[in-house]
Amino acid sequence: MRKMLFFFLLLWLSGNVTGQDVLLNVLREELQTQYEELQKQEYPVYHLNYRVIDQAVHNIGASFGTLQGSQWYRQRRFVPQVRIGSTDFDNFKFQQMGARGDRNGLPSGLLPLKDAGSEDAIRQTVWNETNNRYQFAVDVYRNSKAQQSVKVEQEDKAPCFSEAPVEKYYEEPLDGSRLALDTAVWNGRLRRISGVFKSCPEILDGNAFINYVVERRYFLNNEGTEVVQNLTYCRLMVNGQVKADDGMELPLSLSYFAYLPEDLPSEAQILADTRAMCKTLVALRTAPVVDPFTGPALLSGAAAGVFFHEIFGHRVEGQRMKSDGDGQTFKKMVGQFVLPEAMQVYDDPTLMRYADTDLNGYYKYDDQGVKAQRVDVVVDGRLNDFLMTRTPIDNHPRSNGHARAEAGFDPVSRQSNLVIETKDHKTTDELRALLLEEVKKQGKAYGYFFKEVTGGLTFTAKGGTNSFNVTPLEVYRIYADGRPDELVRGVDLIGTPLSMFSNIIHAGGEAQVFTGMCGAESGQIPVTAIAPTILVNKVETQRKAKSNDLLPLLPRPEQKQ
Amino acid sequence: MKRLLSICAGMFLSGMAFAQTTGEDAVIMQAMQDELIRNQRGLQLDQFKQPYFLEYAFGRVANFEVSGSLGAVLNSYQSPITSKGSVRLLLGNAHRTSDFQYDGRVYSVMMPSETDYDEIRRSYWLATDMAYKNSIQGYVSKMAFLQSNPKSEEEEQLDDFSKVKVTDCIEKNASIPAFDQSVWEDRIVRLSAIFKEYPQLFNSSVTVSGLQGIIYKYTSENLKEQLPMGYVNLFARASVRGTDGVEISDSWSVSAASLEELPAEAELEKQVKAFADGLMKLSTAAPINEFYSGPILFEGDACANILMSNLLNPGRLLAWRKPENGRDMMTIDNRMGRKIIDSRLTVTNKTALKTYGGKSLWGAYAVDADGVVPAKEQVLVEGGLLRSQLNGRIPTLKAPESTGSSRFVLPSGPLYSKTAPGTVHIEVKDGLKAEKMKKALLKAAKEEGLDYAYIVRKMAGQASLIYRVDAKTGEETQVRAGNFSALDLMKIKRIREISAQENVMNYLYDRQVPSSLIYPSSILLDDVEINIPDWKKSQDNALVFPLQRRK
Repeated sequence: MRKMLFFFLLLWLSGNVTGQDVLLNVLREELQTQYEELQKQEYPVYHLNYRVIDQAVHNIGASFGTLQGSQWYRQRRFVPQVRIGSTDFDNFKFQQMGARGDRNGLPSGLLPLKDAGSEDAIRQTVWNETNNRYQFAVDVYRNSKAQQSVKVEQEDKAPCFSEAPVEKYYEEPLDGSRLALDTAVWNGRLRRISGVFKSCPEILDGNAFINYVVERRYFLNNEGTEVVQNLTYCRLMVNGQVKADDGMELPLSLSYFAYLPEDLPSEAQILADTRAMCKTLVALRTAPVVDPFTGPALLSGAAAGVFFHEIFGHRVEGQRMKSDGDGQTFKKMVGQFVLPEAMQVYDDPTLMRYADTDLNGYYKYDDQGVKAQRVDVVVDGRLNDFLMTRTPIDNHPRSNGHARAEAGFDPVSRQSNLVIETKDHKTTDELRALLLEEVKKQGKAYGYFFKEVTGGLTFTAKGGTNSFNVTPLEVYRIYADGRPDELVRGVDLIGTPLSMFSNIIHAGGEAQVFTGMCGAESGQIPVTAIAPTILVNKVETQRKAKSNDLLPLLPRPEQKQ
Repeated sequence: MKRLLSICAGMFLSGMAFAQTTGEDAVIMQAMQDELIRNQRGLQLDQFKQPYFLEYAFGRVANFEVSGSLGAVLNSYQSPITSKGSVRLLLGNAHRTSDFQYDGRVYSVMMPSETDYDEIRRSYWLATDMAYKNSIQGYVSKMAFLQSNPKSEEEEQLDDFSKVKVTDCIEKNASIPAFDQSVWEDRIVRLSAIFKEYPQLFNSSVTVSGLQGIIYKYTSENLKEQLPMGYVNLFARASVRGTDGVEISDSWSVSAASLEELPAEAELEKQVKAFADGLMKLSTAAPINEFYSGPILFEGDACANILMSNLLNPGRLLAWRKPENGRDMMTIDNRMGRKIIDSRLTVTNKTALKTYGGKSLWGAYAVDADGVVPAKEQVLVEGGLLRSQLNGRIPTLKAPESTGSSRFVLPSGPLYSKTAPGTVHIEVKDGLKAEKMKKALLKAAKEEGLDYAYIVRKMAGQASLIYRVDAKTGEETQVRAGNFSALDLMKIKRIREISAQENVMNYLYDRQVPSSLIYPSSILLDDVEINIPDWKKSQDNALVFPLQRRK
């Protein structure tokens, strides 16, 4: 019920009541003035947009029942995008970012935190960042022109920038009381949750951490689009780690997400989950280490979600395919089967909840001011569409609202809420039976069940291996001879995408949501991956890299419970 | 080992504060002590010995920063009190330890922000275990290295870690002062608004930032230390485009041990205005356009800069020991008893001097970070002759004993200590009256047949303050800097004239250790060259700076 109230509150607050928004008013004036000034230059600007990310962040952490730290800060970051040339050839032809980065990332300007008397400071920041990015744009444009004259024509013939509808959307700022956590309440909860680890002397690290982010994002462009939207994210993580006698470090974690702190699971639920995790951690310490393996496996919904995000999702992010340097795994496979016929994959940033869980990848408008849209990436097993920004590629001429970026970066195609479903779903028992059938068919003694994973990585460029690596945390052997399932450790799930997809044979009906932050060209963005358990007839695993350090020589100091 | 207890006056303490109870101090110290003793006695792996020396440091620190521009707050942050720890562990014995680098390396460890006995111990436990295992590897590697790279007989005699008499240093009433964020936001709004009157200056900002904390230490020699440390800096910066199209960026700052010690707002306002006026003048100053070789008078900051950069470095008046497998560095160790600077100069390190010329000195301290009581005065250079160097507990051939100069760095990063000065007093015998220094410059110029000479008041690249002085009239014209020839130790071996007037400054040695310098207000050097700068004109701004649109 709370979620519904929150949703309606936002709707109620939406509208065109922008007159009191000093920042928006100054940005609007500056955009017009700067656009006019930059059109008079030797290299006139043909598109100019401003993004502002006003972020209030509250973090609290505790370890073994004691607060580690608490931090609250707010920043307003400004990032303009300057495009010179024309939609057919502009400064983003060979360069995805509109500024030169350094080890701290890409630059962005700081805007005043309060509106009163801030006009001059806003204008100074806007002037400085736009001026710098314009100068960078001119350098890049000249170089790109030179580059084009000495290279063969790119395979992709689509323009550099596409048209998009003009959007007007405005939300009033959230109530100030929404900007921070109730510190006293959360201090207590995190103490109690992390205090669970005290009861297990084998656990070397045990902490609980909450991160609450309240964002107000502004987007304006010279075409007349003005979007101001609020987003909130609240994540609670519980992390524990043990070390096996052979030095292998074995972490496990719990992750919870809601838009608002009060909508996170109850403390009793988290405490129970943490106690269960402690038991698994202790069992992991003495679990057998596995050898490399190929054979059938079940991937839990969370594991399958990460698996799809890494090996599938990143390969349907359209903008990347514009570059000849990209592996372009799927670019020419639209209409072809890429998954079993019953499977559907879509990416839907408009989705607020799924499987009774709030979704981290939700937004209303993307970072190019384009309305968020559901994209049916795979329909009945056939590849159907890509996640697009205003950078078109051949046969995909329009944005579908998937341009996303962290402050400082320019947006590129990114995932939001990636959902995998099947029309022909099996029950958990059926999937287990099918796994055992496959094990026997392949003459194996066992298959694997990947229950929890921490994340993964993939390489999509042409020059690389185009492979993926998913890091499981909790893995079981499922024996064909009826022995009880056996917890094992030290396994990484590896492979290459196309062969892996061809090995998916069945999927379940109950979805799990994996909440995470995804890092790519345009920085860190919040995402979810939602999937049912899937059965794969052949996975490949390798031994996980491990530390060779001995266990601590002395026991953990005695602790009061 | 004889031990003393001293109640040392905290260098950087001030009034009302975040609650820091004696109870919390006791819990921190007890946790450090209990875990250190447990590790000292219990850590032993196979044939390797227990730690020879173990040191725990603990810091409770609060940071703040408020930054504003053109009358608006851009950033405002105040951290709650956070805690951090460090572990230093040596294997072996005083003659040969596991220390390879001789740089006081520590292992940093996160600590709970709440004062919790169990969690402090748990954190030290894991860090000490890691430090012990790494030290074993270090010790074995070092012994193997020394076998293949034998030392000279003299070096072989030298210990790796000096034995000292330790003295406790407990400042019991230490507290972490509170930062009134809203008061400072208002103040920064007013100060940063000053730049609205200077439409030619862009990217201006005013920032106040700092940290206040308490450092605790306990070692296997049963040394206990507890003292407050703090540092506050208020700075303004801005850029301007010179008449020649070169972009000039400059900053001005004022530092203090605590917020209360910063100048009053009216004074700050005056200083920020002066900075803005100075930058405007600089923007219209003509660049130096011809090569110059002749006398130059270095005043104030420029003079301090030359003296500090030549004297107050490792290998100069601060002892430095070459890492076992590291690169060598040019030192003046072998010039002990020989002339290194002008014979009229005597350099003394002072640790008991608390004020000078009415100014509080940051370089005063009673006990160093190793628990060593420093000499109240130590002569480093006497009449231009090198007499001694400052050192901590890493012996060198020419500074084999600690001089009590191991000093805590500000706890903004890892908690450790390094060899650093207290108050260095550079005194001149038979110096020239300050008002006669300019006349001496003009005289020197005439002797060289020059029509003009230069006075340098600040050395800061493009934002240097340089004045061309007419040799006949003494009239000063501000110019923009060129590139100076080397102003090295050789250059100050013979100084034409030295001012008898003294300046006093507090500064962070190596940007980390609060120190002080008392120095002659100016020096006149012969035969300094200035080359024509080759600065490139900045690209023209495509956009008109908003404050200039109003014209």
